[in-house]
Amino acid sequence: MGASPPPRHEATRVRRLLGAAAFPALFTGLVLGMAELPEFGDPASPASTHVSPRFIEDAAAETGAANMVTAVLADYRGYDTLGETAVIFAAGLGCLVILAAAGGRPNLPAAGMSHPFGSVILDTATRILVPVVLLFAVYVLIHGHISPGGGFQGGVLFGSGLIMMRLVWGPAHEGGARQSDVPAFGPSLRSSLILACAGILGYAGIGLAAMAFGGEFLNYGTLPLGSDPAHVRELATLGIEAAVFLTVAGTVGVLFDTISIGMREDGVPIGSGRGPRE
Amino acid sequence: MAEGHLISIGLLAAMVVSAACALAVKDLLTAAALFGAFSFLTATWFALLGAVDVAFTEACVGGALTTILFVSTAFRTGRSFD
Repeated sequence: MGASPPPRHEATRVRRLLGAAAFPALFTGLVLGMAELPEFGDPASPASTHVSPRFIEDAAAETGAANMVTAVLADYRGYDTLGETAVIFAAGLGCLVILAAAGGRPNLPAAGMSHPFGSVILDTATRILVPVVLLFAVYVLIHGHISPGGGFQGGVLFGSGLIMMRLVWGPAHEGGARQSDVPAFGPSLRSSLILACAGILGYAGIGLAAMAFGGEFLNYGTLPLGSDPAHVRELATLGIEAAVFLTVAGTVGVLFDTISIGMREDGVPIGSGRGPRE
Repeated sequence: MAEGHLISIGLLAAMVVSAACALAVKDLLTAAALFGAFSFLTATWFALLGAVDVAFTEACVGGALTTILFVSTAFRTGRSFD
């Protein structure tokens, strides 16, 4: 708001009045509508009487997954999860197009921050933490059947472990302002992209393979992986989780690389045509 | 039951405080750390409600990944040490 308020046109005033009238009406309507919904956690609600018992009683026997969340996400609702994975992949591509197009060089090996955090304390902490984080990520992926976790959490952990190291240690390529003697490692931006693509294609591929063997898309029961249907579904679910893991870990790498690569010492993207900051 | 309520109220109050502080502070690095704290409190509350998988996801994504991305972005924008 400046010293002199802008002139108010008649149309603007009408629009504001309409908005002022519409907001309380909509708000009241939504609150009244909410009153009709079942109570939170109501055992007599349709979701609790029809949907939940079906999954609770049959999920473990049908899918071989003791963790019902995994059974629903990767098996019963595999199509939704395929869409979610595609959304994550698209988000990574969007960042790549917007940020890296400004001057990034996609062929740099294992990019890191051009101004690493490197201090002795951080270096040492990262050295101890990162291997544990990476190992735990794989554990979370493999144990998604029987404990909380799965491909998504595992992929995020794996990607976070890799980029945490790059954040602290800086870039591995020559000319970087590296303060540690340990070069950052990990997939390059190109490899991260390939991993993410492989993940999403593998997911869809498992679905198509189920079709090829006479089932519906993503209905794994028909895959020729053994005689026990629950075990077949368990193996296929693990494949799905691994595909999600690859997509998420690759996308995390793409996100970080597009933020951090192609920076000159003064923090301006290489080739962006802008001058140094004040 | 009353004890559970107290923990919930405490967690929610701490969430509101950390979110407000993350908006109020000038230093972007501090804001990123406060946002990580907010995510961690959210994850704890989810776990209290029994949604362990959601809590795990929130702890991974909010507590670790977005904090790292925020920190690297704060560095890139060069406004972290004003």
